[in-house]
Amino acid sequence: MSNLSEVKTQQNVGIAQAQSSNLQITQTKSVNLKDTTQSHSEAKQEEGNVISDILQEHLLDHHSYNFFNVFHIDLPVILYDKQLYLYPSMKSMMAEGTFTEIHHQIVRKDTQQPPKLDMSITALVMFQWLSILLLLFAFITSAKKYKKQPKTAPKGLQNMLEVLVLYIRDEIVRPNISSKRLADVLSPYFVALFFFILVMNLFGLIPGGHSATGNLAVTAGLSIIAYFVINGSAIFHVGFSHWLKELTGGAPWGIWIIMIPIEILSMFTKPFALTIRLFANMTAGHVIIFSLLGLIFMLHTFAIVPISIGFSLFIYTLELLVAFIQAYVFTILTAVFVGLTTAEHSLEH
Amino acid sequence: MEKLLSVDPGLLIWTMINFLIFLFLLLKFGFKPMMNALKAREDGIQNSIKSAEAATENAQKLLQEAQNKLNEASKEVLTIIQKGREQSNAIINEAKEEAEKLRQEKMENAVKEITLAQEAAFKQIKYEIAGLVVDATEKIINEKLEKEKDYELINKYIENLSKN
Repeated sequence: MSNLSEVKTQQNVGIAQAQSSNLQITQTKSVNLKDTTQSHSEAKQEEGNVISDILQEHLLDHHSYNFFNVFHIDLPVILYDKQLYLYPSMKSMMAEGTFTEIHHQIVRKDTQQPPKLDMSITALVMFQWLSILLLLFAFITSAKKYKKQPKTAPKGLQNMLEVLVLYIRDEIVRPNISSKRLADVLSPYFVALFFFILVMNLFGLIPGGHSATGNLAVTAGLSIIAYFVINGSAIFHVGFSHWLKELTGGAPWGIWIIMIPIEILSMFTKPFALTIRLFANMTAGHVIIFSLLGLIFMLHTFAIVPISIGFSLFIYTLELLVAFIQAYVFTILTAVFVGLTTAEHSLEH
Repeated sequence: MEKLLSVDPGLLIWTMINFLIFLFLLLKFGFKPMMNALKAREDGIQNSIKSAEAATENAQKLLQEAQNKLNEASKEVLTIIQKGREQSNAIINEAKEEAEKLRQEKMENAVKEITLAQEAAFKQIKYEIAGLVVDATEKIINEKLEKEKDYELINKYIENLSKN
């Protein structure tokens, strides 16, 4: 228990650092931008904005997808505001006239208010679908091989998937979740979680790709599901009354007034930590790469090019590692949390 | 940049929908076939190990049997050789004995024959000598002695002579 709390604090510190470094980078960048805009010519200002724009373009979600100005895909807009509005693209929405776009935000033309819910197929939703298609293709082709030659040793893609799936099942899920039945029921969830996050992470490293996991809404969505899995499996496994009893932390009733809020809070901090960790890690790498490339435009010299390219290449390779590590961390922490809440004798600790 | 830290509820809902769809499809088309195949392979490997163990045991048994048979056979061979040797020795001994006997017999026969021949020769010689003596004495003392009387006398002496 003490070990785990240590791990937790370390993680929290890590998140805090990541966040602060992230903020620092953005702050210094904006300061730099201001400096250039104030003291330098307009050309420089434009160049500074180029990097900033590309960064925004890369990190934020859009209603269209643009591949290096080579091709451009308009994505459908789905809005709900008292009734459902469906448009094949942003342009057709503007043409229809009920909604308009101001500062990259969709608002009603008459009230200037944003719609209640924007369920558009954005670029990140498209990348999620791409990830899903890629993964399903990989899994279905290997499943076919399993059916065709069930007894031969796995090769290639099939072998890679098998190694990862077995690793998740045997090294992440089973050691952390003590109940074998629960581990077997939940292992498909963890496999799906790991591969979904991994492929979304990796998409951000492909030129023209976006990593959906670099968006808070995506990581929050995954964490909400993780929240339901953690608490749902606890209620399902140890029973609702036992789950309620866990909220007292096994402490004497005199300090329940302190324990219960803490336990309820920790129930939400776990998925919140997952959300921020994945988002910060995926965003930080992209921001660092863009900042390093931005140095060339800021310092206005070719001498910096080898340094910029070298370091950004290094960060890029690091990002490749981080893509795997963060998928692994999100998966194993969810498994640890499930294991903690479903442990048979957790009250005795 | 504040947009970076905002949560878009639409994207959040889409993420959850997408993930759940992916989970369902993966479970149905990817995970279950893989797990079934892995289970089948595990069972297959387990079975092959078991059958290999059984085969090894069987082979061990057969080897033991063969070893035993070989041992028995070599024992038998040894006894046969032993017996053969004994038999051959016996035969050789018998042959030797027989040969000895034969030799002995032949020797005896020869001795007998020799003695018989000797005796016959002696008899012959006695007669010859007696004849010669008779002739000689006849010639010497022809006139003095009567033939018949003398023969008897001489024969008596010769008989006595031969007995002595």
